[in-house]
Amino acid sequence: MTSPSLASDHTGAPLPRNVFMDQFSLEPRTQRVWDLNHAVWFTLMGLGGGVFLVGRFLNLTEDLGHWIGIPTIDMISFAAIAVGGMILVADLGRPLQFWRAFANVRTSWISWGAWSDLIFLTVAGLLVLPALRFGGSRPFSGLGWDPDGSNGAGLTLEIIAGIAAMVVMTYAGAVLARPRSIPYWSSLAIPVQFLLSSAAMSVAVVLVIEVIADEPISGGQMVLLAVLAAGLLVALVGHLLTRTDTPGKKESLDGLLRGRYRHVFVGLVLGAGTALPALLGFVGAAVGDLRDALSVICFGLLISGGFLLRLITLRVGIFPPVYIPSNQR
Amino acid sequence: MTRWGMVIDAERCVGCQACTVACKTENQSPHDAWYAPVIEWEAGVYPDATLNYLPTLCNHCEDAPCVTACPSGAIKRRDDGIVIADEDVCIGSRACMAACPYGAINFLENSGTASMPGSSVASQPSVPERYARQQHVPGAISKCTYCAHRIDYGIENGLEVGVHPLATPACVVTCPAECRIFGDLDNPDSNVSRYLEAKGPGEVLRPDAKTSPNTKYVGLP
Amino acid sequence: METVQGARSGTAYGDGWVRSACTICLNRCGILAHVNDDEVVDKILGDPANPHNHGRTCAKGDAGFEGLNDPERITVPLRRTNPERGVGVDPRWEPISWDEALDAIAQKLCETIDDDPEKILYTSFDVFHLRGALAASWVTGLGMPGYSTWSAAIFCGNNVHGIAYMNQNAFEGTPDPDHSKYILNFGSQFGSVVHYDTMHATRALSERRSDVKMVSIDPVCSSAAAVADEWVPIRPGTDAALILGMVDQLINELDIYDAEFLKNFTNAAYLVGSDGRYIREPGGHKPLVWDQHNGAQPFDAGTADAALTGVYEVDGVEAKPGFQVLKDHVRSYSPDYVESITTVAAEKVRRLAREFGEASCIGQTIEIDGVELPYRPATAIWYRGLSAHKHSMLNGLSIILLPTLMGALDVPGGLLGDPWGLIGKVKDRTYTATASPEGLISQGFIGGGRVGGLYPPRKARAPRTTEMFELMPCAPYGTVFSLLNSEQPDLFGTPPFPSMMINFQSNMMKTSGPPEIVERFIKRIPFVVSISRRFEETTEMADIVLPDLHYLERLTPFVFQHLSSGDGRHSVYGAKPVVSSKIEGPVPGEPYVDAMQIYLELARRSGTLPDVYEAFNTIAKMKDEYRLDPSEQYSYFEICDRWLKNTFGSDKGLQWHLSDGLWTDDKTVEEKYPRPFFEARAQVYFEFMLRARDDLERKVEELGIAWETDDYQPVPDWKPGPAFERTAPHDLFVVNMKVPNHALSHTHKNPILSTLSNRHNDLKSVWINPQTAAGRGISSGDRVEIETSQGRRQTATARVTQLVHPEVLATQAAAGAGPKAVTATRSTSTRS
Ligand SMILES: Nc1nc2c(c(=O)[nH]1)N[C@H]1C(S)=C(S)[C@@H](COP(=O)(O)OP(=O)(O)OC[C@H]3O[C@@H](n4cnc5c(=O)[nH]c(N)nc54)[C@H](O)[C@@H]3O)O[C@H]1N2
Ligand SMILES: Nc1nc2c(c(=O)[nH]1)N[C@H]1C(S)=C(S)[C@@H](COP(=O)(O)OP(=O)(O)OC[C@H]3O[C@@H](n4cnc5c(=O)[nH]c(N)nc54)[C@H](O)[C@@H]3O)O[C@H]1N2
Ligand code: SF4
Ligand code: SF4
Ligand code: SF4
Ligand code: SF4
Ligand code: SF4
Ligand SMILES: [Mo]
Repeated sequence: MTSPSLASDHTGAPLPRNVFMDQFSLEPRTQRVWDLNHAVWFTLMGLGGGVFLVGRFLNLTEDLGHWIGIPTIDMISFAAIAVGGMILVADLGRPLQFWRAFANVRTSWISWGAWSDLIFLTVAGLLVLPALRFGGSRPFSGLGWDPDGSNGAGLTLEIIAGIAAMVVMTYAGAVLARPRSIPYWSSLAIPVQFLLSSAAMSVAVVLVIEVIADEPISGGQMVLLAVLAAGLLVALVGHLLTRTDTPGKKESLDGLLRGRYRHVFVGLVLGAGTALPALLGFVGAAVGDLRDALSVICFGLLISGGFLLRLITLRVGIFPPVYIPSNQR
Repeated sequence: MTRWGMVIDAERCVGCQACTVACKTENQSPHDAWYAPVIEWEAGVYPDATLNYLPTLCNHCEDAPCVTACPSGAIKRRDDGIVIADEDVCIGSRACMAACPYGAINFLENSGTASMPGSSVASQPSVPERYARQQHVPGAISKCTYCAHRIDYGIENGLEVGVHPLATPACVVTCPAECRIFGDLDNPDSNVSRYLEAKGPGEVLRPDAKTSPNTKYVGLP
Repeated sequence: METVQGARSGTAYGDGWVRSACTICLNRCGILAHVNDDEVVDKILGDPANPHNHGRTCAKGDAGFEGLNDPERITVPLRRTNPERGVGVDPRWEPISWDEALDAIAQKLCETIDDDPEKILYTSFDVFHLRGALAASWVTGLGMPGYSTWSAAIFCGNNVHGIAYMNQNAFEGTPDPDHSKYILNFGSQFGSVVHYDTMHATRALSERRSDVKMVSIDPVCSSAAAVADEWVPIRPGTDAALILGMVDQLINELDIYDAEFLKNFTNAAYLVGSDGRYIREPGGHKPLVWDQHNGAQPFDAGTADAALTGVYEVDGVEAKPGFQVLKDHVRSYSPDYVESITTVAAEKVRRLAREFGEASCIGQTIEIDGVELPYRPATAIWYRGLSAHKHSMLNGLSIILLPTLMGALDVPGGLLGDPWGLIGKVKDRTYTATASPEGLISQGFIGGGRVGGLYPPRKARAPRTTEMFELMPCAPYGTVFSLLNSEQPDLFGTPPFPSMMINFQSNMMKTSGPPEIVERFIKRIPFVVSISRRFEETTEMADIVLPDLHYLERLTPFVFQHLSSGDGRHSVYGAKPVVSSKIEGPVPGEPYVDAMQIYLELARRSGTLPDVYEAFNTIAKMKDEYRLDPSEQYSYFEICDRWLKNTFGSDKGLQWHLSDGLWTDDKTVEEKYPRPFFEARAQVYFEFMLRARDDLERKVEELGIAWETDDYQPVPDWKPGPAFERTAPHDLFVVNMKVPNHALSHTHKNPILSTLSNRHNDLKSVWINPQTAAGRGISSGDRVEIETSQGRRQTATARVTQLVHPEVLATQAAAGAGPKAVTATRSTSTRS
């Protein structure tokens, strides 16, 4: 799996990928390192962590149906993270060496991510294990904690899993934000955006499950969704308005607001993917009998918006020239 | 304490690309991966236009974002300041590529060719085999090593690093304009320190990235 | 079969390294090549012990070992079985034995020699530099008229060599990298890693960056112009106008010239009559000069203060010093007129002249090795950009005036002759030049046959070959006329057409005229042999192909002695086998180490070996103990051994060459800066041109050939070439430049260099100025169609750039590939 198209030369041999399209010229250069695959697993990780947390936070985990004894919400969360993890590994240049990714927890956010994924899956897995139904019986019911964390042991596991889930939701953004190489990425705004978007998406997912399980959706839940979406809107707009003429970020902003991605970004990410669900959320809070319908609509808008947000954020990652001649500073 | 560094006097550069090629023949970098590209750009408007040259390579940053980002620890910063990647440990996450502000890292696609088609850039580097990588690992990254194999070889054989051709990076040895100088930045009377003294203080690329590179420039246009 | 190899120890780098020479471009850098345990050459570094390139190599040299294992290498003699020759026509090669091949060629040689040896066309670029006396002896021994550098002869040094011999007794002039402070680069890339003595120049100039001003006069911002401090774009083919305009400013407006030098070391004071001829001593031959006190005197009468200016009367006829004639002549080149011709602003013309004049430091001296010498740190250099045009000789005669008038010939900071003319004179280096009866430098051109000098002019004779060299009394080459004669056979009364061609290390199909014309020319030659390492355009036209070696497999101790410029030291060295070739050679049981073995074998088989030996004894000045005995036969190795001992001393034979093979020596101040140390004079007034013209006109009259003679004039002019009058839609000039990381056809199949070019300097692009592009709606990356006034069409990718003159399309010499040679030559039609 190779993300950005890799060129081939006159001999027909594929060229090794350099982050720069053209190493020999002094233009701002679009990154060619990460693309579609990363957008997908970023989204899945966000959802995975988010759905688990939202479920627990809204205390809906037990009420929305089970599958082989395990709460559907948790199952969705596990699945998302597992699939996301598989895509992540498959995208590595050397997938068979994936285990080395755990090596550098000291400084690497990817290592943090790897650990948080692992910890979450194990701890959350353990947490729900007693509930596992197996051919009519519950083989692990003997374990001394309740899956909904209502006793001490259960609560501890739940808290550990919760923290891991938080990290799972955040680290993708942190991977982009940590280095200063790409000014558009290099900002707290990116992890914040990813976190809020993940949370909003996750709420939407939970609401839709409520609809399916036809549980009544409360006004509070709609408000939560609306507030998260609105927060995302603020985080996005704020980032668009700051350090606008920094070399590199300037070109990124051009790409987002004037250039290649303006329709998708302004239309689908900002508008349909963020502002609109915020609005609809508040409407839903006010008008009770629209909630089911609106939840489904918001789900669609937020998920697609969230995915496009990640994809486009990757694609407008631009390196400024390695050197800016004195007469152009 | 030794801190290897390179001073590049951009004003002397004639844009001949000898460094680019010498590096390839020395390190047998993967097909069409160039560790030492010489950047060119036009300046001015006709008839007062000209072409400028900027020789580049890995900056061997003190505060190297590639090292920070690398989950596997494949990229390490040696005590002597050389930032080097162990391709056998690399898992191909490419976090280092995204993190390096300078595009100094190349990724060898699994489908890519380790060596240049039709090229006899062959088995071995010009100092004993054990010192440099001969075959690059598909799915891993590769980058400038400051010719660590030559530095180590020089030290082991008592050759003066930065002076003896076999104890000096290949791109430095070949440079007809002698705009590349390699030596110990921590030693106040090393060739590099003295050059900076004379022409200094020495600029770095992408200062905004705060990577404190050990590759320094003077005479930048 | 014992192998002969260069020693793999004893060099600066320790074991595994062999000292040899890079022969990819004419700079001939000294190298050390590393051989690994698998007998693979995997690294080339400059030889730090060699003062010529002081341990440096360029991109081409670094990648030089490519090609050793080239799958497309020619490994056995081949004969075409498809009688139809042509581009893209499969020759259907069949392998044949060396015996067959050599006999076939030898037989053809004998036939041709019996018929008319002039009909042998031997084309090779730089073979003489590599194989020196031996190659020359082969040519002479077979009774050939000489050799053709062909492509080189069409537009390399056409207006360089003859002129350098005339005023410097040297093959060509280069600035003094160690002392020049102001360098005018006219259509040359001196200072970049193109041109000659690159390693020395690049290093010295970059070291003195801040106190040297380089100005590049070029329609394109070439790599040299990019390195220069100032790029002065100029309309192609108009340099002479700019130069003469500068001369006018210098001697008429600014009054800057080296009067002392002109009086004592040139013919500037020689008196000239109204007919433009010298006024000579009554009854005698010596030109006269005007002595302020005693009137007209022979030039060599020791006149203290000969007049440079003024009008005098000698025996009732009006007489002017040549300098005065020149002074009056250049008045017509006013800055405004110059601007209208060259597009260089009148103000710039004035400024350049002033800067050049002031930088010349006339009157100043400098002490070198304890000797007081004139200090003239300003000079001009010119090369292909001024050669590849009609009237190019006038370009050369104009530009040589700049350093000559400033007294900047072969003195510190000035234009230094690179005395390749001394090939063979390694040990007894004498820089003095013999003087003609007129007191002028008349060493003449080495080579003879189909290459010649400028002064003294040769006597016009009936043309003996299609090159018609005999009708070019002052030209260095006539090569391009072969193409003319092949296209229009009875244009000049059908001079003998070649009946066989031997092509060696030259790719005329790509680097000379339009391929289809060259193709037709080659097709008309009944028998074509090519000695080559791999197939390239020209070799594909051959009837018999013989495999040649890669330079890292060669034993060629005859590599030219590079007596590098200025403070550089002497270094003499050669190529030696770094690895042994697996190819079987022409001589059974003898390792194949050099194409010269083929030549000697051909001589043996055609019975001319004794003559070759005789010629060698003379040309190489062999001492008795080393002379080749014509009744004997010697292996190539013995000949190398004898030549080496003869040249370097009895202890420096083949063994020395293989184990060490580097001879270096300091230069005496006379060698560094010879001008002050000999009497023969340089010229600023070219009176001989008139005599050449008279003789020539008499001859062509007699032969009934229509022939242009109006370029034979004593003071140069700018004249428009055929391309100057552009007629729509052909309104652009096409100009071509070399690039640092390629050497024409030598490198075009080098995987490293071509991959790099692909990525970096896209050699297939044409450069076009934004103004011009806008007018045609062209933007960078567009495919554009180019048509020359001769109707040739070619598409290319446009690069819209500020780096090119608005009237110009610039192409890069892509290693002889593509039509670049063609468009370059056609758009500025060439003529020596
Ligand atoms: N890298 C490299 N170096 C080489 C060689 C090589 O192939 N590659 N070849 C060697 C050889 S054989 C030679 S002869 C030398 C030649 O070396 P040079 O002659 O110094 O280099 P060229 O690029 O051939 O010079 C042509 C220059 O003249 C310019 N020009 C064209 N027309 C005009 C004109 O009308 N007026 C002016 N003022 N300029 C014009 C072109 O734009 C170009 O920049 O280089 C030698 N060195
Ligand atoms: N467009 C354009 N045309 C030019 C020039 C230019 O700058 N631009 N420059 C002109 C000048 S200055 C010159 S001097 C001429 C030179 O032009 P040529 O005399 O044709 O020289 P090259 O192009 O170097 O071609 C050398 C040939 O030798 C072959 N060769 C390489 N190595 C070996 C070897 O080891 N043995 C043998 N037998 N063959 C070998 C190469 O494949 C190539 O075919 O070109 C002229 N033509
Ligand atoms: S080798 Fe030296 S002069 Fe040539 S491009 Fe590289 S740095 Fe510049
Ligand atoms: S230049 Fe890039 S690759 Fe080199 S050390 Fe700095 S960050 Fe790492
Ligand atoms: S690609 Fe290799 S070296 Fe780079 S960050 Fe990933 S594991 Fe480390
Ligand atoms: S130091 Fe060595 S590896 Fe780095 S660019 Fe120079 S030659 Fe290449
Ligand atoms: S190709 Fe480069 S290394 Fe070889 S002789 Fe020419 S300048 Fe020297
Ligand atoms: Mo040439």
